[in-house]
Parts: sequence; structure tokens; C-alpha cells
Amino acid sequence: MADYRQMWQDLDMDLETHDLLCEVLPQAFGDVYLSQENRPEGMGYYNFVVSEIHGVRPAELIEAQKAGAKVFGTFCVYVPDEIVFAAGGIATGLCGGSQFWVPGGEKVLPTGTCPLIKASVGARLDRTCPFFRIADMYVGETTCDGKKKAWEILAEDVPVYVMDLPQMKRPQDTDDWAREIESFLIRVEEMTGNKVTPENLAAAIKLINNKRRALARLYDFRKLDNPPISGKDALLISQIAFYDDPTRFTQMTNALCDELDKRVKDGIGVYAKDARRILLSGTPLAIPNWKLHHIVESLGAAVVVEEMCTGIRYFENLVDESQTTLDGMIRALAERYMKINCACFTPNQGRIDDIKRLVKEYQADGVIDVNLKFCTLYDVEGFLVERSLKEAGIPCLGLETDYTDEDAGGLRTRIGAFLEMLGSK
Amino acid sequence: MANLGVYLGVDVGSVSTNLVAVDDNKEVLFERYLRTGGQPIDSVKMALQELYQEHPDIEIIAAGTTGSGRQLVGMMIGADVIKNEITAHATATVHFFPDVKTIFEIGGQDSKIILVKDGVVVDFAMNSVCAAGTGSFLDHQSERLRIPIEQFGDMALTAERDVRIAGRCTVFAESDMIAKQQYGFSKAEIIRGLCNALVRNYITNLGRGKSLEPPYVFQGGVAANKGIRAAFEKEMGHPVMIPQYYGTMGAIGAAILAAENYAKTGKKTKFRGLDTVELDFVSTSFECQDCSNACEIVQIVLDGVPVISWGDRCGKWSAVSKGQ
Repeated sequence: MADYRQMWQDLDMDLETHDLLCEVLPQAFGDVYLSQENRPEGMGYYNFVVSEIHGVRPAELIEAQKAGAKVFGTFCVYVPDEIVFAAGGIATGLCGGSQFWVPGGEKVLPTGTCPLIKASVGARLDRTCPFFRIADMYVGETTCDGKKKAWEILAEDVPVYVMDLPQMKRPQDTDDWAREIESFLIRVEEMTGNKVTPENLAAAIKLINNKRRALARLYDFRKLDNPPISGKDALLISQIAFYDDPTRFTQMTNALCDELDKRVKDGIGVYAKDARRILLSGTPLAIPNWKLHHIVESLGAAVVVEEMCTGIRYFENLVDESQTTLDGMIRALAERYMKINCACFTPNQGRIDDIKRLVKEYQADGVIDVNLKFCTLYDVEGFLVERSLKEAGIPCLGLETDYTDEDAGGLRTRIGAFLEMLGSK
Repeated sequence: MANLGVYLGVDVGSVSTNLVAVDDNKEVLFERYLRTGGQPIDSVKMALQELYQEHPDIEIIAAGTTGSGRQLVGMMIGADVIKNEITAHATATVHFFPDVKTIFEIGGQDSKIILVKDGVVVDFAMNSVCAAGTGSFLDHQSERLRIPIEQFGDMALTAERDVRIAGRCTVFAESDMIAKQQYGFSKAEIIRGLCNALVRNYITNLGRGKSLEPPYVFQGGVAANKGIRAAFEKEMGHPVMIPQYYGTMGAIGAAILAAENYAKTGKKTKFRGLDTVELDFVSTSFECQDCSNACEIVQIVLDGVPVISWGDRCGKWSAVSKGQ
């Protein structure tokens, strides 16, 4: 990484501790990513973004702040980025995906909290992540009990706005969510000093829809018999989508897809012909959590799709672009976001239907349902997911893991046995 | 007289190292169960020596390894097949009980449940970090009660009353046990309570959401314990079968897999033979100082040359040893 020490110092970061992270990350990225053979050239952009993860993008955000923009840090795919961009703000994902930040979170949170929450709180309180320092305001949401209480702790250190997400999908819940988006809009206007108009909101809807279209285009390649891109690489792109500049991200992802089109024409794939195809479902894999993809793909199988927030939940379904009034657009946003199927909803049959549909679309041979340790919602729902998949004749392996490396051996044994159970083609 | 062709199977776990030899008809000719004691290499060497002493006329056609130390020992002996524990155990069970539908396996530090349909694994679960459903749990309690683990099972069967002991956690089970002793329950009753607690804990943890259908086969080192078998039969309301070689099923599975692989490929074995015993394998470890990760690198050194390394995050040590 280039030298950003002055910037980090200005952000009042803990430089010594942060140095440790800076040393470990390139190593981990090299082991998992750069060791892959036959990668598309277009991955060079994403390699660069990761190698400069705490430098280039934070510097851009700081420049934007100097020009008067406000940065909103978000933690969930239900938060409508469109509102932020419409008001001239910038939304950036903040979910922590590294064990590095967990001990910091454990200083204030119970050990039995999910690693994503612990890492996110630790990254803020230990002052070891520039994104967490830069954000003018955090936007939380009520997707689980751990997060709800964590916002109160974070709010002592940074302004936090919390959106009240409905937990059911009746018509009145979509109405409620539309009202929540309205309230959020007012707060964003106050914060940025800019009005949200039908014109700038329509443009923002288009901006984010285009990002979704690019990701959908990328994921379509994974449906093919011999995907021209690895699951690991696709996951990385999904993770970067959360914090990169949306215009540039869309452009670079489409450029990569052009290259993939050519690869497909030339018959270039990244897997062995008999590679088993795996769908990963469950809790999100925030950057730099590449553990499961690495294990599955090191064992010769292919991760062909993630039914996750870092995956299809992020980009499936577009916001209706035909609305002309603010009310109409807010309604369209509410309807699109309420189509995401998260385990925080009850009942949540939609998610199980999604998994079954994705198994067909992506020709998956089996499903690995992943639960981040201590996530009660996905853990409980795992029972229904497994039962329903088995009834449909789809092999399913339930796994629980966290951000540490200690269970890698056990995971390898389980996943290896699962792949053998799927048999050879 | 021509040498007797056999297939070797080795199962290297954290608690025990098992080595078997089976013949062409998959009959077990030799079976050794040794405590690993943190020395997998020495245990395997010892067992191999005994094998050659008892059967000087054998020729090993193919060898397979399984268990958590399968890679290490596979490299050391020159295994033709290196398989995970699930596949190895299920292979052996299906060989002896072709109709089996549910396999309970409880070893020293891990336990698994394997569901089989038409001789093929269709589902499985393994315990994770917690030892409360494994042999270590019983070992620990036998020490506390000062009853040798070998007498545990028979003693459980003599109990007159049932006593419920909290078996979710080894630590809490201990305090609960002390409380129950103070209430006046006999040691035999406490032991039966522990057996029931272990089985209850095992079924709750591993059987969640699975339909466990008979025929049931119970294997692994803990299957020696009659108290646990009785607890399983009570819990399932159905007889539970125990294979003759219950303690070495993983190794038998590895041997059968090696035999099947040989039948398919006809490849000459990579097995090093009795030389393995003579070879000077030494396990060493050091902290790599090349970067701030400071990985603990474990190396197996053969005649002064590292032949396998692991523990490195970057892969440079493991890559070097693979190249040799």
C-alpha cells in the first residue's frame, strides 16, 4: 500500500495497531487470490482496490468531504443508498469481516455476539479502519437484536441514525418501510443540506440500478457450464461493490464482463470439467472474509452463487425507473427493498424459494448453508432450509463458523466429505 | 510360498492411532489400537513393526490413511489413498452391515452421525469444538470418580435408579455430578446418568433436523462401553448393533478404499514398506520470521531433509516440501 500515514493520522487512527493489519492483509490476499491460475485480466482493477483498501477510496471520500459532501456508513443491504446519492452524499458499506477487529468489539460486547457485529464495533472503537473514521453518520437498522443494541454503544462515539425495518411482509409493512425511507430522506437532507428532488432521485435510482445490472451480468457467467471466473473472484467483486464509487465500479465490472464474454467464446473456464458446483447460502461474508470460498475451491469444487447479502440479495430486483414523483419513487424503493429475503423476517418462505430457484439457475449440485456463530436468526432458519432442501432432493450441509482460522481443518474435513457425498460427475 | 497380499489402513486421530491389514476378501488379519499420545509417527511405526512381526510373509498391495493426521501419515508411509473420516467410516460400516441406515460414531475427541441410503452416504454431521459428546467427557468423569474407564460400562448396567445429570457441558456436568452424589446416589447410578447424558447430548447436537432410522450401528472407541450402548438403545427404542472391530472402523474403511482404488487403477503402491520404520522421521516446529504473521511452521524431517511442512499462511514452506 502506498503511504497514507498522514491521512490516517489526521483521521486520529491508532497507527501502530493499524500497521499490523496492513502487514497481514496483503499476505492473506496473496494466499487466497493471487495464487489462483488463469484469472481474468479484468481482476487487476479489484486487486488494486483491495491492495489500496485503506488508502485510495478513503482519500477519495476525504476529498469529497472537503468539497462539502457527507459520507454515510451503512451496514445492511436494506438501507437505500439511492437516497444518499440523490442528496449528493456518498454511501459506503462498513461491515467488518476480519478477526483483527473482533477483540476490540469484545471489550464492550458479550462474547456470544456474532463476529460481524463485534468486528464492526471493534473497528470503530479501536480506531483501526479509515472508513469507520471518515463516515459523518452511521446508518443502522433493526435487523437483529445484537445490532440494535450495538447502535446504542456506537452512538456514544459517532452520530447513528437507525431505520426501523419491518419484520413481516404484509402490505402494511411495505407502507411502513416507505414511511421509514421518507424519514431517512428528511434526515439525509438535513445532514447534507441538499434537497432530494424527483430529478436527482431518478438519477440515483438509475445509478444504483446500473450497478445491480452489472453484478447480475457478472453472476450470469457463473450459471454457465464452465464458468470463466472463479467464485472467489466473484465474491471479491460483490464485497467491493459495497464501498467503491458506484459509477466507476459499474464501468469496471462491465469491462470485466466484456472480457468474460470473450473467454466464453474461446471456451476458457477456470475449473476442472468435473468440478462440483456449490451454492453458499446464509449469513454475509464481509470483506476480507474469504475463508469458505477458499476451502471449497481449494478442494476442487466451484462456488457458483451466494444466496447472501454479499451475493444475490444485494443486486437481484431493480427499482422501478418509470416513476416521476417523489412519492412514486419512494414507493418503488420500498417495494424493491422489501423483496430481499433476510432471516430477520417471519415467515421467510421467500428465502427458501430463492435457494431452490438459484440451485436450478446456477446448476448447483449441493448447498452449503453457512451460519456466522451466534447469529440466532439464520441458525434457527437453518433447520427449515435444510429440511426443505432435503425434501426437494437437494443435498445440503449446514456449517457454523466465525472469522478465526482455527476451525479450518474441521471445515475442510466436512466440506471434503460433502463433496465426496455429491459423487463424481 | 507366495507372499500374502494385504491392504493397509491407518486412522490417525488425536487420541488413538489405529492400523489394520485386510486381505482380498476384506477379512481383517491384523488390528492395532494405540494411544497417539501426541506422537502419531511413533505410534504408526510401532504398529507397523508389530504387523511385520506377526505376519512376516505379507506384501502390502495398497495403503490408505484417514483421520485428522491423514495427510501427515499418508506422506510418511506413502499412502495411495488419503480420505476423510466420514467416507472411511461409512465404507467400513456398509461393508459389514450393507443395510445400515444410521451410523453413530463416537471417538476420543470427536463424534459423528452418518446417514446412509443404499450403501451411500446421504447426510452427516460432526461435533464441533465441544467435547461433551465424546470419549474425552467420559475419560474426564472416570478420573474424577476414580473408576477405571474400562469398568464404566458394566458398572452403569448395575444401576438401580435413573438420575438425570446435566450433560451439556463437561464443566457443568461435573458440578451437577457432585451435587447428585451429595443427594446420595450411588456411583453406578451416577455413571448411568453420565452415559444417558452423553447420548442425549450427542443426539441433540448431531441429530438436529435429521430422521434417524434403523438399522443403527454404533462404532468408535466409546462403543466398548456397554452403558453407552444401553443408553443409545433406550434413547432410540431399538437395538443398536456394534461391529466386531468397532474401535478401528476408520482404519478398515481406509484399507477397503485403498483396495477399491487398486482394483480400479491397478497402480503399484507408493507404500514405503518396512523401510518406514527404519526411516528417521522427526517432527520439529519453528516460528517463521519472514513476515509479521510469525506462523508456527511444523515440519517433518526425514534424514535431515524436510519432507512436509504446514502451518504457513503464505504457502511457501508447504510448497517447498511438496516440490521434493
